[in-house]
Order: sequence, then C-alpha cells, then structure tokens
Amino acid sequence: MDVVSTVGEGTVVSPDGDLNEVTAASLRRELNRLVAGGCREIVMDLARIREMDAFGLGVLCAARTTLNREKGSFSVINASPELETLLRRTGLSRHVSISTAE
Amino acid sequence: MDILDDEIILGYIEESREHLADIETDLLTIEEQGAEINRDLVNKVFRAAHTIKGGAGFLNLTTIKELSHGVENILDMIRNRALVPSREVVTLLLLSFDKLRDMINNYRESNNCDIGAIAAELAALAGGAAPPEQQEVREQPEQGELVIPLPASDIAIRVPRSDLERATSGGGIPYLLALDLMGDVPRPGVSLTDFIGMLDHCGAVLDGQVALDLTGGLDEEPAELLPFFVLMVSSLNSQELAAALNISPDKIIPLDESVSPVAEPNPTPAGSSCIDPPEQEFTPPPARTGSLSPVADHLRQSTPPVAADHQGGGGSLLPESTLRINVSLLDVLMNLAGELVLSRNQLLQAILRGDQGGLKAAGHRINSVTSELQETIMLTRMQPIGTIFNKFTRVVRDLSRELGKEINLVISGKEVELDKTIIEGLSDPLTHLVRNAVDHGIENPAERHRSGKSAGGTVRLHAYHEAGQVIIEISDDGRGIDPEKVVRSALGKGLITPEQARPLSDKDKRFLIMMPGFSTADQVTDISGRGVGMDVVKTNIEKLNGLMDIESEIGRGSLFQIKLPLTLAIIPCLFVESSGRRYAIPQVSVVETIRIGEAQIADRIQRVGDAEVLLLRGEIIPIIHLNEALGISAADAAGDLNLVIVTNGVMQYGMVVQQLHDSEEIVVKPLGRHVRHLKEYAGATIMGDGQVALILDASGLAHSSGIATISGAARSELKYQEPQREAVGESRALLTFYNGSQQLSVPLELVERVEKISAQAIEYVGGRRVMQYHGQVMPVMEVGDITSAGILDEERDLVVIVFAFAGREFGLAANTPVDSLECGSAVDGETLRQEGIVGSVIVSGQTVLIVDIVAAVTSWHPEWFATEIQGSVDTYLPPTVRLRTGGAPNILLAEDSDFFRDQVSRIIEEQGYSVVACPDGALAWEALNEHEESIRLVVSDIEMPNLDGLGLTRKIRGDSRFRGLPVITLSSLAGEENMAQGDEAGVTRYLVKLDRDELVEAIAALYPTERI
Repeated sequence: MDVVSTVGEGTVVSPDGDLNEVTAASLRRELNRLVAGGCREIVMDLARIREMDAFGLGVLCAARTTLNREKGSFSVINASPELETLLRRTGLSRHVSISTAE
Repeated sequence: MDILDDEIILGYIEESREHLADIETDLLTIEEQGAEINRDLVNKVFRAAHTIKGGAGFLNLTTIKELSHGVENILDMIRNRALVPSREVVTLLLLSFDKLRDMINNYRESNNCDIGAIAAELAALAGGAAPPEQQEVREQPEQGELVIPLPASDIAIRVPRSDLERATSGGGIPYLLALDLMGDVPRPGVSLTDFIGMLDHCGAVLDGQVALDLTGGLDEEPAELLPFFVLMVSSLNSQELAAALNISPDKIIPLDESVSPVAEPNPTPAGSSCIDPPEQEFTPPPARTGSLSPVADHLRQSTPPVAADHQGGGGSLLPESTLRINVSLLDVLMNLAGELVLSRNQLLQAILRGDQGGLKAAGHRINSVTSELQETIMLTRMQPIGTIFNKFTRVVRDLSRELGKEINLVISGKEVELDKTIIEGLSDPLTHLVRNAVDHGIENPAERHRSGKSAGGTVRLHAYHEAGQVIIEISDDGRGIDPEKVVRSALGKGLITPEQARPLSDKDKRFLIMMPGFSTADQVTDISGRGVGMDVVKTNIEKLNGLMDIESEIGRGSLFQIKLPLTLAIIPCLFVESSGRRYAIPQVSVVETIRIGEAQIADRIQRVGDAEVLLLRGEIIPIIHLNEALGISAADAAGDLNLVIVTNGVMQYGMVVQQLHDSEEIVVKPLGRHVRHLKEYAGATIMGDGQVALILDASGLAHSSGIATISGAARSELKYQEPQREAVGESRALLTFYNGSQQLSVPLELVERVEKISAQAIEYVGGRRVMQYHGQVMPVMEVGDITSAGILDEERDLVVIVFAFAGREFGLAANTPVDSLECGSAVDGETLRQEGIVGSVIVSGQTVLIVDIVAAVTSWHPEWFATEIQGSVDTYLPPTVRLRTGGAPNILLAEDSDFFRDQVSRIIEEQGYSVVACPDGALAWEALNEHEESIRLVVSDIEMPNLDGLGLTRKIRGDSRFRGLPVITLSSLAGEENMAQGDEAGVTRYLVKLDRDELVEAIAALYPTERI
C-alpha cells in the first residue's frame, strides 16, 4: 500500500512492493489525485520498491510530465542501486532528480 | 558529421525536398480553412518540419534544426487551436520553409546562414506558450556534442563526440536501438533491470532515453507503449546483437555504413517504424486541455512518414539526381531483364551448337525484349506536370497580394505526364507566363470594376493531351493584349520600323512581345516587366521543340498556348482510304475500328438535328464522313460502313472511311508552309509504294467538322490557330540518326522513308554497297564514305534512310535511334563546315552535324547528274530574295523550298545565266516587274504560298508585257491532270523536280536568243 506523507511543501509518496502493471495503475491514480488536489511538489520514495517494470517506469515519466507542465517538481529518493542504474540508463535521471538509498 | 557517410546526408536532403515539395499547397489550404483547421493536413506539414528537424539534428545541421523547430512550434499551436492560421502566420511559415529549402539545398553552408530575424519572428509568434520540453531541446548542442533527436519526440540523445570516438576506436559499431519497453522487453524471467544489464554486457551504452513526452501526463490514459532509444557501441553485428538481446533485428539501426549497410539513410523514419506501436488499436485519449502534444498525435506523426508523405508527392522543383519510380514499373523492368538473360542464354547455346534456327529465334526474342525494355525505361522518365503546376498557387498568392489584386488560380490537368527533362525545362517559362498573367494580364480591382468585371480575376493553368501532343495553356480574364499598344511600344523602342509594322496583322503585332528587349507595362514593375521576359520564354519553349501561340481579345483576356509537338519521328499509324486516297491516323488517336453491315446502318446510325450519331454500346458518338469533312466528295457509296473511332483526348467520334488498311510505322514529315494552316492534317508521310499520305489530326478534324466538345467550344472563344511561322521564326525539321556513337542529321524534307534492315541486307556488288529494295537494286552508302564523323556500328540496329534524287533512290545506312527535331535556332553554316558536312545545329546542348547528302550523292553517283553539281546545299542559310550573280538577272526562279531554290539556282547559274530567286509567286511577280527589262525566262514551282505557280503563270499571261515569256514549271506532281492544268494556265514546259538534265535542256531550248 502506498504511504503518503507531507514534508514541508512537498508530498512524499512511498509505494510498497514491486512496481508493475497492476500496482502502477493504482500509483498513477494516487499521484493524479494529489496533483488534482493542488499538490505541486511530489517526492517518490523508492525505498520499499524492489523491482520496477516498464509500466512502473511509465508512471514516473507521466508524473514528471504532469508536474513539469504544472510548473511543479518531481524527484525520486532512496532508489536501490539497481533502480538507480535503471533510471539513469533510461535517461530519466536527466529530467528527474534522483538520490540513492544510503 | 565525421561518422556519417555522404549517402546519409544525400538521403536526408532528398527526403527533405520531398517533404517540402507539397508544403506550399498544403499551407495555402490551411490558410484558406482558417480557424476550421484540417488536423490531418496540419499534421502532415508538422510531420514534414519534424522530420527535417530530426535529420538536421542528427547531421549536426544546427541552423536548419533551429529553424524547423521554430516552425514546428507554430504548427503545433495551430494544431492545438492555440493559434489561428491567419494570412500573416502562413506567410511567416512560407518564408520559413523557403529559408529551410535554401539551407537544405546548400546544406554545407547552412550553419552559417543568418536566420536571426525569421527565428525571432517565429519565437515572438509562439510567445511564451512553447511547452517546456520543447524549450529544453532548443538548447544549442555544446561544441563537440553529438545530438540525435528521437523520432516522434522532442527528446534527443546527447553524447559527447569524444565518448563516441573512444567507444568506436576499438572497432565497435555504433547502433541506435529503438525499442518499446512495454512491447519488446517484458519476458518471463527477464526484468527491466536485467534487460538494462544485458545491454551493458553487449557493448558500451553511451546514452539511453525513454521518450518521456510520449507517455503523457498522469491525467491521461496510460500509454500502451514506452519508446526507449539507446545509443550504444558494440563489437557484435546487428544480427548477433539482436539475438543476444532477444529483440527483433529491425529495432537496431547501425549508424556506421562502412560496416553494415544502413537500411535507411536517415534514422528518423527507420526509428519511427521501429517503435512498432499497435497503431490501429490505439484509441486516442479523450479531449484534453493543455498545450502538450498528445500521445496519439505523436504516434500518428511517427507512423511511416515515408509512405504517407510520398504518395502523389511527385518530385520537387529543385534539380534532382534521383527519381522516384512506381514499383510496378520496376517489376516490369525486372521481368524484362530476366527475359533478356534467358534470351542471352538461348543465343549463347545457339552459337555453341551452330544452330541457325535457334539463332534466329534468339534474335527475334532479343529484338522484342529490347524494344519493350526501351519503352519501359522511357516510361520511368514520365512525371506528372502537377509537380510544376503546384508551385503556382504560391506564386499567384504572393504576387496578387503584392500587387493588391484579387486572383483566383484554377489548375487542371495536373496528371498529364511529360518527360522529366521537359518538365524541368518548362518550369521557368511557365513561371514567367503566370507572373505575366498576374502582373500585366489581370487588372487591379478598381479597373476591373470600371469595365464591369468582378473584382477577382481568374488565371487558368490547363494541360491536356491532344493528338499525341501535350498542350499547356495559361489564360487570364484580364485586359488582353492591345496590338496597337504593342506596336507603339515596339516602335518607341526601335525594335521595328514603321514600314515593318504596317503590314502586320493583329496577331503578328501581339507576337512582337516576344522580341528581345520588349516590355508593355507602362511602368516597369519589379515582378515581370523587366523587358527580358517573353523572348526568353519563347527560346526556352523552342528548345523543347515546342510552339507558342498567343490569343487575346482586348478587355476579355489572353491565352498563351504551348504546344509540345510529337517528339518521335516514327509513329505507328492506321492507314485508311477515302475517295481513293490514303490517309494515316496516328495510332494514339485510334480507339477502335468498326464495320457496320448495310442492313444495320438504319438501326445504328441516327440523325440528331443536322448531325449523325452512332449508337455504340449505349453511348452516343458523333460521326463524320471523312470525304465530306475534307471537302472531297459529297456522299459515301452505299454498302457496309467502315468506321474508325478516334479520340482527341477529350471526346470520341467516329470517322466514316471507305476502307481500312494496315497499321504501319511511318516517318512524319511536317507539312509545307502553304498547307500548314490546314488544321485537319498533322503532317504527311511517304508510303512504301512512294505515294504521299496525309496524316489526319483527330482534334483538328473535330473542330472543322463542328463536333468539338463543350470544353473545346469554351476554348474556341480564344481560338487557336497555327502560329504564323514568319512571326515565330523559321524552324526546320531534321531527321537525326546515329553513325556509331556520333549523332548526325539530314534535312527531313529530303528523306523519303526510313526502313529497318539487318546488316546482311546490304550486299557488296562490284565494290559498291547495294541492297534490294522494292524489287530493285538500290545503292547504299554510309556517312563514313563522305566524312569522318563516327563509324557505322553494324552490330547495332540498322536502318536505311531512303532518299530520292533525279528520280532515283539511294540509301544511307545508319544506326538507331532515329528521331526528328525542329530546330528553331539558327544553323551554324561556318564553324563545323567540312567536306560532307553542311553545318551544325545545337539541340538540347548537344551539337548535331548536318550531313551534306546532296554532295554525297553527286560525288558518289556523278552519272546520275550529267555534270557535277558545284558546291553543296546552303539549305540552312537564311532564305532571302537574292540576286545570285552580278548583272541584271535574266531568269526568274520562284520556289518555296529553300533547298530546291538553292539547287535549281545553282543548276541554272552553272549554265551562265543570272538568276533572281523568290520564295513565292507573289514576290516573284514583284521581282518580275522590277526586272521587267532583263528577265527572259521564268522557272517556277507549282505549290507555293501566297501565289502558286499556276497563278503566277496566269498573271504573266494576262500581262501584255510578258505574253511571250517562256514559263517552265517544276513540280513533284506529275499526273496528267496536273499537266492539263498547267497547259490551261499557259505553262510552256512542265518538268518534274530535280531532273537536272531535263531542266538544263529545257532552258537551253526555250531561252530566247533575242529580247522579246
């Protein structure tokens, strides 16, 4: 289950488990709800994510696109080294600030 | 650009030109539609800009990329209805595309082009509305950075050049991988991270990018694909790489041509086709807000742009070195090539076996395959004229705007096909004529209003086929050309003298506008009145063997007609007979032939008003009786009716003839000046038995019989007539042929026939070449016998060109292809004149020598002419009324053919007489009056313009001063009937043309020794 908390101006979203075709859809809905509710700064905490597939990646892309359009910000924190490689290799790191897990 | 091959750049340029070709028309349509945009059309233009941008980025053509990006932004706004394509917006876009075209044509210099002003305007127009993603891409690539914009996306792959060089230094091949992470990658047991790891295993990944902007936002339906592009260098070849990654090989685009050929020179179309989206199933997301390009649109852009944009696109106007050919035509060519190989095998086997029958069969086969191959290859050069017509939409729009006129351009006949070289040659003259029509032809709205016309003028461009010719018309409904104004202007400029102007007809006067240095506009405008227009147009059209005609009515408009004549000298014709005379109908005009039994005539043929019509398969077809149409006799004999259904390209009609004969290939000879105005005939030919047959002009006959169609009637408002030859300039017909590889020509008027022969047909008898021809032995020579221009290649197709002199025939063996041409330009009788060569003429940039066939015959067969004829033919020197030798002339010669006039003058002068030679009877009559005292004998041709030989004779006989003057007539018409007419007119002696001995004898016998 996704955990949403508010830190300062931003909202941290911490999904759990694998980010795949099934879970991506609910994450997308969640994020969409936040943006629709006026949230313009979203931080994606990937600490509890082990695997991510193309659908999961698609949601991150969509979130970045939407927030960019709304002049907001979107960033990723606590990515595992594997996920960090994935985000870097797919070029997402060029558009989204990513920090790795300690 | 270091790693990129020339072929990639050329591919990009070629493709960009194709994209640009139709853009003007599309943009103008967009402008017309205004706010009610046609999304597909805007998308099409957007795609063009996008593809140009993509390639430019890839090739590091930064200026092109920057400009096309600016254009793309505007188009995107139009597409999203954020901007209405007003006149100003479209003008800016048109200017931008012009600039792009210039830069692409000159891509090497493009990065130094200054696009500051136009880019600033584009940016100002776009305002702050450009989406952030796009602004990102607008960053200039840093020095030494390779940027590959991704298909259908505003994201680009960026790699420092040094990285790429380092990676490829070990011999690796750079690849661009275009993948769909959702469609291509998910496989059981392989996660996305595993796949990324595999990429690292296969080589060095330099950069990877998901097409971020294609995924849409959170509020949109999740995309069903996630395009992902990777630039990597691998030592594997593309097949191995595909296998290692377990992906389809077509997702891999090698960027280094030298190692593995690039399937598509420009990665953009290839890349986009690699995305492989289930496009048809993809439903576009519902309506949305915001300015981002929706995914569906991007997908649409990315679907094969090559196929979508090139259909019906035609070529561009720019000089091109490549040609787009219909695949089915290519298939035909492939089949023919296959046939040729089979025939060759057959031939080789026959040679090995020494099998004569087999040799013959193989020969036949090769013959037919070769002919078909030649025809098909000619077809590949055919292009629709629409490629040049299309650009006039823009020309007219811009001009009318500049001049403050309202002009509607109507284009028809875009699909008419012409040889590529003719199309290219037509571009300039047509542009000139269209500009003239807009600038000089159409009045400004106020003037139109005063003359009771609608404010908007109309310029029409129309192309159509007629009797195997292509006719292009440019007409306007403007003020027309005032012949008096033209004359005043020409007089004012000193182009003609008042004496010259007096006898001119209105039509002649209008033709004065084609004189060099002429301009009618009261004020010389920037647009067309520079005084260098129409003469250049005329020269260009003549270069294409075309004719120009001008029709105009003051206050109603003008029509400029360009007639591109039959290019081939040899055309297949159907022979028909009527009133005992044979006529040829070009096979292109013949639809079918029908015989109607006597009993059926009443059922099938009906009268509607004055006209007879034929009921043919439910259609009503007007019919004419050939003998009536030609004014020969009134009625056809009873019995079965033979009908030839002919077409003039617009309509069909039936022609009743007495008999139908064979179809034959004939040599077309132009008609003489004095019968050229008869529009029922397209020319003449000499048949195998030596008789002359006239070639019927299907459209001319339709006109003169009054059955022209409505469109014809509309045209006849500005009725077309054969241009006055004097005004257009004397053009001459030459028959060209080859002697080995050397192209030569002879005057067409001397040629009787051209026959295909085999090398064996020529025999050597008594040291001379002869061949059997129509049961007689005919001497045959080749050009090598008289001059050293080429060597006859007996291995190639041979023809024998048959000439007739002094009642005898002789042949000239030559190589094919044989063709005829009208050379409008002056024949150079000096530069290349040598033994056996009278002169040269420049045809399409090539020098063609004219063989002195008369000198050749006289030197070869002097016995044909009792004494040797001095000199040779000056056929091509300007025809003038000239006094051949000093002293008062004592023989008057009237002859319209330059060639015969020259020949006969020589023959007479050799005998010590002094000749005054005139090109027609009327001038001869003037000359006779002028030299009344000295002329003692008249030699005259019969058929002549203005006043013919018999008329001249009657005039002479009717004048008491010349009653006793002997008149010798020369004619090729030797019938008894003709002789009787001659006697009646008062001809003293009737001779057959070019029988030198008889002429010399007759002059000697008739020349009075004392003054009468």
